[in-house]
Amino acid sequence: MPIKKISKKIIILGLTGLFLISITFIIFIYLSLNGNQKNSTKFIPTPIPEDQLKEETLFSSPYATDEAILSLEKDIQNLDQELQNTDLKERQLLPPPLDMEIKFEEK
Amino acid sequence: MKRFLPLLLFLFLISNNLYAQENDFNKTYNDYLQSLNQYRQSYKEYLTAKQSYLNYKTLTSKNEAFLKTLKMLEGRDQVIANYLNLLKIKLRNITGIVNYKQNILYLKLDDEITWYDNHKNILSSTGSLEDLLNLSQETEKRYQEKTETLIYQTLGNTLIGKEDNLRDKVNSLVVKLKEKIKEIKEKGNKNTNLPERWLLEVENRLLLSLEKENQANNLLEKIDQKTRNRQQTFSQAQLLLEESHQYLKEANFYLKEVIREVKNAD
Repeated sequence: MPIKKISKKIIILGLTGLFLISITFIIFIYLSLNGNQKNSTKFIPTPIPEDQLKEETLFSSPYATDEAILSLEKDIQNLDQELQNTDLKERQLLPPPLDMEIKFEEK
Repeated sequence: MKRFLPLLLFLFLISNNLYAQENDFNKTYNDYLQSLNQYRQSYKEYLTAKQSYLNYKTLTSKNEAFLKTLKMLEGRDQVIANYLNLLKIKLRNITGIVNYKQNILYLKLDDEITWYDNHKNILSSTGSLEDLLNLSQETEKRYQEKTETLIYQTLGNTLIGKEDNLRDKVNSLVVKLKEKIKEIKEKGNKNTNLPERWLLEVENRLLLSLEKENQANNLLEKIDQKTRNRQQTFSQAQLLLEESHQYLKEANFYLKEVIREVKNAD
């Protein structure tokens, strides 16, 4: 009987110990992750433009350095700028606000 | 050196012409703003003089009302004339007045400017407040029946001119790119199926853009003497032109993709 009681106690103590160790371990992991984030500078990778990434990852054709293609590419880029900057509102050209009902009567 | 002389001369003339156009527009715009500010000032003075006359009905207040009304009406005619001149220069700079319709608008604008200039001179020779009010009604009638219609038609055609210029540029790039792709296809060192298909998409976008522009044009042509809300009709046309512009942007974006595809290996 006493041996059974002792073994029961050992099991309970063992389980409690294991539970406490795992809790401590979880808290430790949690603190180490969050604590580091607050105290240290966050690592932000330098953004790479999507176009550049695509071009770098793909192989070039014989026309990648072709003069005519490069010239067309430049023209297309210039036109893109022009398209973006085109003003179709033309607010400065809207008719001026003028009083077109000149009367000398009491309102 | 002698061989390049005509080319240099040509470039100089073009740049000089562009500078002159820009300068012309800025000067006219400043004249217009100045006349608008003067009109606003004279309008405030007219309101005060008018109120004073309506309150006191004295000969002095009537004379003061006459003078202030005259100044304000002269200012109003001047603003309209300057504004029409501004529209004329804008239309010329953007479209180059290359077709019949633009030519007609240009001539009509000239006619309107002359009318307001003459009317301003008639105003200055008027001797009574009653005559002034009659002359003011002439301006109001003219503005409602002719000028406003012309203003919105000109504005619309200026915007259409802008879109046409841009579409021409995209078209010219499509033609060049097509030639290049044909050349690549003949050499056979790059598969051109995808770029050719994408060029069809570009052409499709150009067609859609033109379609929207035609719709805008139809609306603008409906603006006439009988149109009740000209500004609203113009705004609708403007929205259609914005949609047309969006298709142009898409077409150009697709061209970028075609270039990228040509530069990449199969």
